[in-house]
Order: sequence, then C-alpha cells, then structure tokens
Amino acid sequence: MKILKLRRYLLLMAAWLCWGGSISGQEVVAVLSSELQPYQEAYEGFAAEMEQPVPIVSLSVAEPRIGDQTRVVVAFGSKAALESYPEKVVLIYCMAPGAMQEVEGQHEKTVHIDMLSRPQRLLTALGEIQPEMRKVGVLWVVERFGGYVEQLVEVGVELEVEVVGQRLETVEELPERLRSLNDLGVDALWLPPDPLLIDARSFALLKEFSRSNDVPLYAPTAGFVAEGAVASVAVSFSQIGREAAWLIEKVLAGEEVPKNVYPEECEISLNLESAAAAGLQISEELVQRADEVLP
Amino acid sequence: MRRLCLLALCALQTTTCWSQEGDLFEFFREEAKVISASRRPQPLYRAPATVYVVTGEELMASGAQTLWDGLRRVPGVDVIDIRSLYGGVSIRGLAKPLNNRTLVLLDGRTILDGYVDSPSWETAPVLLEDVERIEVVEGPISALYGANAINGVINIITRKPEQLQGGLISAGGGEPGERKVSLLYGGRGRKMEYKVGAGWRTADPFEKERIGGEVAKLYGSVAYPLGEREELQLSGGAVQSDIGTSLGGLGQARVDGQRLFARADYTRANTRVRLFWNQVEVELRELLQSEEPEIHQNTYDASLEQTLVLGRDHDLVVGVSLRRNEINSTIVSATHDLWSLYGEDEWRFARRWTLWSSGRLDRHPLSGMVLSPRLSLVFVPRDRHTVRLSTGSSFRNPTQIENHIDVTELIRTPEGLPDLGARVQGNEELDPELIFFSEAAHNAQLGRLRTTLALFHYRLRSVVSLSPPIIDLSDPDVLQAQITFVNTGETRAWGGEVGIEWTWGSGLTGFANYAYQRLSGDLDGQIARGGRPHHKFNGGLQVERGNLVGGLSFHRVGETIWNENRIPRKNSWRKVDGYTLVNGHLSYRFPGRWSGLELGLDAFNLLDDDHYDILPGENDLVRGQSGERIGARRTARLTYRF
Repeated sequence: MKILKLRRYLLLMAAWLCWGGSISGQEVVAVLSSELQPYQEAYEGFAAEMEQPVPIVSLSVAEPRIGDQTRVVVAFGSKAALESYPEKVVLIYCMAPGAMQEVEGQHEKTVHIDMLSRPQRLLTALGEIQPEMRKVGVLWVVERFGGYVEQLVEVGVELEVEVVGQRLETVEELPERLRSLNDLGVDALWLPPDPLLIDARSFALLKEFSRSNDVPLYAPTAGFVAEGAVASVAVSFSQIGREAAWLIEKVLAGEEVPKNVYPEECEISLNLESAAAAGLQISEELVQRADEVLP
Repeated sequence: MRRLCLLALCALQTTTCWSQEGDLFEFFREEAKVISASRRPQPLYRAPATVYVVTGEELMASGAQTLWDGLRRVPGVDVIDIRSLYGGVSIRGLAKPLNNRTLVLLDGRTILDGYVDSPSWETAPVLLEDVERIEVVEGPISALYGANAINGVINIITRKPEQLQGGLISAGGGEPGERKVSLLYGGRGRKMEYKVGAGWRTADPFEKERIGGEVAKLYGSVAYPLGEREELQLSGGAVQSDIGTSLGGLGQARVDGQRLFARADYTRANTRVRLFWNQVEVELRELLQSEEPEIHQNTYDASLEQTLVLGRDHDLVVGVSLRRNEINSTIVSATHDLWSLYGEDEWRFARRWTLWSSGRLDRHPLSGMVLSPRLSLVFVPRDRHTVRLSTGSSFRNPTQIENHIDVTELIRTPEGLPDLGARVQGNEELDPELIFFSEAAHNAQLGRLRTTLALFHYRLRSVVSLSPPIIDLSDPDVLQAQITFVNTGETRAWGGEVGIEWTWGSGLTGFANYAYQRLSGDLDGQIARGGRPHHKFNGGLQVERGNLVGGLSFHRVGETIWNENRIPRKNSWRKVDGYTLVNGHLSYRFPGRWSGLELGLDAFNLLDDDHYDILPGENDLVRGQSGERIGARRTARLTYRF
C-alpha cells in the first residue's frame, strides 16, 4: 500500500513539475481536494468512464493553473470546488456535500452532483427496509439540506410517512435534538451527508441513541453501515464520478444541465447486527436484493 | 515532452489501484473544515453566560489593526486607545487604563502581566492573522475562570494547524510610522501537527511627544496524537517589546523587555491536564525620576480537569488548579502560592429547562479563601429562543503591587514651594474585591436575523484603591506623603445591551448594537466616573463578493469623566468628549496565476475625528491618565498565502 501511495504521489509531483503547475491545453481537467479515499473512489469512477485521459491535480500536491483551452473543470471535494477558476469554465463538482451555497457564490456556471439520491427513491427504499416506519426524524446543520428535507416531507405525505426535520445550529445541540425527536415519537432516524453534523463523536452518540431507543439509524453512505448504522440508501462514490463523466458530454455539447443533479443509481447496504440491536427485523427478500449485507 | 508526460500520467492514473486505507470520518472532517472556514459561528444560545464571538474574518474585515480595536463591535465592551501599541479593554463599566478586572486568555492561558494583573495586548504572542475567534464572556464568572474574572473573560482562540494547512507572509505599512511583517505557517507531518508564527511591528505615536513602540514575536506549537481522543500539545513563544504605555495616574512609561511562555496540554477523552509557565522581564522606563525599576515575574500553573457524563441529563466538570506567582524587583518582591478547586454541573432537568450550577474555591496566601458560586437557569420557550437568569459572585485578589510595593518618589515643584516626596507602600492585609451580580438575557434566531438582549446589575465590594495621603510636615523643604492601598466601600452598577446581527445571502452580513451602563459610588479613583461612557452604539457591514472583501464599522462612544489625578492627591474630575470612530477595510484576492496574493487596505478613524479616550496630563502635578490624542491610521498590506 505504501508503494502505491508513493507511486501516486510521485505521479502527481511529476505532473506538477512537468507543467509547472499548469494544465493548460486540455478541454477537461480534474481537481481533487486531497488524496483521501472517498475523493479517489469518485475519481476512479470518473476516469473509468472517460474515453479520453484527463489530467488530474491534487490540491495537496499542486495548485491548478487552468489554461485557455480548458472548458470544464471537474472538482472532487469542496476545497477543489472553491478554487479560483477562469470565468468561462464550467465547473462540475461533486463529493462536496455541504458547500453548494458557497460554491455557487464563487462561480458563475456550476453543476453539482449530489451525494443524495432522489427523495422519492430514498423514502421508498427506507420503507422497504422498515415497512412499519411511520415517522422518520431528520437532523442536519448545513443549511442546504433544508430544501431536501422539504422535498422529503412532500414525498412522505404520498407515502404516508411523516418526516420530522430539525436543523441544528451546531453539532453541540445533538443530544438535545435527539431527546426532542424521541419525545416526538420518531421510529427511524435518517442522516444526510452533513459534514458539520457527522464526526466520530456524534456518530457514536447517534448509534447509542438508536440502540437505546430502538430507533433504526439510516446513514448517508455505505461506509457508515460498517461503522454501525442499520442501513444506507446511498449513491456510491464511484457512481458519483461516473455521473460527472456523463455530464461532461452534455456540457461540451452545449446542452442545458440542471444546477443540481441527483444520480439515478443508488445502493442499499444493510447491517443485520445493528438492525437487530435496534429491534428491526429485515425481510429475507430485501437481504437477498441488497447490494451489501453485513452479518 | 509535456504532452508525453501528460498522457503517461493519465494512463497510469486510470489503472492505479487506489489505497483502501481512507477514512470516511476524515472525509467529512475535511469537508467540514472547508465549510466551517466560510461559515459564521452561531451565537452560543445555551451558554450559561452572555457570550459574544468575534471571528478572525470579522476581525480582519473590520479595519482593526489591533486586538483591542477588533473588540469594539461587542456590545458592553469599553475599548480605550491609550498609545499606538497599547490599548485597554474592560467590560460593563469598569474602564481604566490598567484594567485588572477582566481576565484575558490566549487559548485558555492567562496573558495578564502577573504583577499588575492587567494585559499588554500588543505583546500577546499571537498574530491577528492567526486569530480563529475571540470569545467575550460578559459578567462576573470567577466560578469557572477564577480570579480577575470580575466583569468578564476574553478568550483569544488561535487557528489550529489543521485549519492553516499552509502559510502566509504579510508585509505592510502606513501612517503614523506603521510597519509590519507577519509570517504564519501550519501543517501536518507524519505524526504531528505544527504551527509557527512570527511578527514584527513598529508604530509612531499619534502625538510627537509621546512614545510609539516596537514589538517582535515568535511562537509555535506541535500537537502529537497519541491515540483515539488522546493528544499531547507543546507550545512556546517569546515576545520582545519596547512600547509606550500609560499607568493611569502614575503617568506614562516605556515598558521595555521580554515575555516568554512555555506550555504543555495533554487531553485524553474527557480528561485535560495543562501546565504553563509565563515570564515577564521588563524595565519600566521614564516613569520614576529616582530609578527605572526592573520587573522579573514568573507564573507557574498546573491544572487538571475532568468531564463526567452522569446519565442522560447531567454533565459535570471538575478541576483543580495550582499556581505560583513570583516577582522580584527593586520596588516589589514576593512569592504567592495559590490553589483552587472548581466544578460545574449542567442539569437538563426538563425538556426546555437547563440549570447550570458552578462553584469555585480559591485560596490566596494573604487574602485567604474565597468561594465563587454561580447559578444559571436557561429556558427554551420555543425553537431558537432562550431566556436565561444568572446570579452569583466573583472576585479579584489584590495584585502583588497592591500587596507589596515599596517605592519612594520625589516630585520637584515650582520654585518657592517645597518638593513633594511620595512613598507608596503595599498592604498585605487587603481583602479581595468581591462582586455580586444578577443578569437576565434573551437570545433568538429569527431566520437570518439574530437578536440578543441582556440586563445586568452588580455590586462591587471591598474595592481596592489608594488611601488618602498622610503628610509629614517636619521637613520644610520636602512634604512627605505616605500612601498605601485600602479596601473601601461599594460600587453599584446596572445596565444592558441589545444587539442584532443579520445575513443577506452568503456574502453580506451586518450588525448593530447599543449598550448602556451606569455606576454609583466612585470608589476607585482610576475608573471612569459613573461607569461612563453611559452610551455606546456600534454598527457595521461586511461584504464578500468574489475576490473582494470589504468592511465598514461605526462606533459612537459617549463622553467620559476621569480623575485629573492632582498631586497632592485630590479627586477632581474632568470630562473627555465623546467621539465617533469609523473604520474601514478593503481587500482584493488576486485570481489565476496570482492566486494566493491579497492586497488589503485598512483605515482606522476614517473621519479623522481626533479624540482622547482618557485624560491627557497637564504636568507632573496634574497627570490625568496620561492620555494621547488618537488620530487616524491608514495602512496597506500585501499578503501571500501558500
């Protein structure tokens, strides 16, 4: 693994040295916030889908200098999305779950690939996992998730599931908000991929709440299922990267692209032990159908 | 060649097997860091005290060029500009040049000069660019912070290395005689995070006959993660300075010397251990005619704190602290060993109610034991609204100067009059000053609008002040006056603050606030009479649009009345007019190939409203507070972030 890391580092350094940090002359350029695995997974999906090789710069190694011929920058992560790029460039950014508002204020032409699946898809899938679910609590800190929760509420009316959303000013409010949701009688808890809400400490608290109160916890990405969430209905990071690659074609062809794109494909991951601890029995049919099942 | 490398790189990149060692929490932490950097922190609704926060971004965008000027926007805070590089901050009506009733911390470590228990702001080992935020806790809060938190605590919190992840170098200058260089760098190594800061600043006085100053500082820290939720952090720094200051009625002085500190913090889960050493080695020049005293002061401090989670509804914090204060000088020499025990309990006894109870027991070798209790009841009537009632007491131990000073000064008088000899002696029998307070507050968040309202009342007892002089008339050529420090009666005060802050979109924010305060009983002759200025109004706007950042702040400060400090000693009062201060800032971040470069312009006192914050002296016999006429300051700076 260390050799792979070293190799990647050397490659990125080579890129920087060869072009002096400039990646001009390319129509499409990829910029990574850092070399963390989630960004890399998304980039992998992107690179695999691209027909042409695309130059890549990681901000932990070099600063991107965008040339005149570049028409599209694909940014992986908020830091990369908030870099300064020429005005004429279309910015497609992903893996930046909380920074939509900031990025839009910074750039004129942007397309955001969401880490969330469509509200209808999410709520339907949660209903399949927990057919008895009638009242689902949602907590978030970053303002942009408020709009998504409103859509969830509307969809919930159709599916006869009440969505109780509570926005926190800071993560410090979490114990208080959990008590409040418990008082309101929620029978499930779903988390958006909110960077200001999710950290190791808050996630431990959420798991504890879930187990102590028999309220299944649904996570925003599959990785949290291995950490102890009951399940996730989430778009994989590599799928997000693939979506970015598909969008490039449309952008280069001059087609209209919405500012926010929900990936169509999402995966269901299950943790049977966590489900049992939260008092939830998952149907065998769903276990067979799920993309990932942890015993 | 370039083309070839590009293709080779891309071909390899697409087939590289990425490492699977990544961490999902690390990803969210990285994303949170970026968002937090562009997000204003929210008011501390549920805090058991009135707390205001000034962020580093607000500080830089306000046009403030000093820490104390950056605090002007906080309602209830009295800022006095004393010299180019010396200012004072007090809270809720106890303003004086050498304020020893407000505790000032840098990342939780006291930066009060131990011999006078007053901060020298400019010599704090921190750069303006390194300030993450400043928290201002208003009202007595010794129950949590100990001595000197008589009327509040100001905690300057610096950026963590992980927030920097790079560095900056900044150079600038302007009028009057202002030159400044700063260097800040932070990063993460294989097994540690580190940060280093260095700065140099010099400024001329506003008035030619006064003293400007020069300050050079160097500091750094390293943090070693030792395991899951376990960390050791080591830090240290040195500041060399030669700055003009005012010692209130004693006159002006030039404080020349150095300050050092070393510190170690160990945290493991809910346990925190902190050790630090502060040293002040300064010479007080141009103060006394007879000598230029050197002060050698050391503070050693050790504290242990433990947070206990008692069930779902109780959080308890308990701690113990030990401190040694040593001072050696020709005018004062002493060693004090102090200890304290403290605890705070947060009890959420009902869904909308929280009771905070805290208490602290402090022991001083001369003043004995002091108990500081505090109670706060927080009620949440509806979402994003809190109502709080607080009551308790707080204290200040006499300073080592007040306990032990022994200095004689001969003051030459006009011909035909006998000279004056004044001997000032400390008093080891002094009691600590005690403050008893009550406070009511309301905070609300109404969409993009935040409101705060606080009302307070307090009684300050056993105020330490100079005694009336005892005159020895036996020598016809010299009138010998003997002065000491005594505890006097009681000062009462009441007042309040009201403020709003609002946000339009992501790039425009504003604030406006008003504070009123009134004191009765002028027992310490160095405090502005009656708690003036009675009225203070602050307002401002901050705009961030693309690569431009601008800020404009407006401060209206009412008149003050100060002691003229006539010799022989006599309380006589004179008015200092109110003034209007407008500060501005404009900066441009260059894009593209110049990315990282930023040009900033700062203006202090844009309206050229020359004013005094404290009384100027007339001569050796009428010293006022040795104030300086404060004029305008215009500076420009170029910053490169890398």
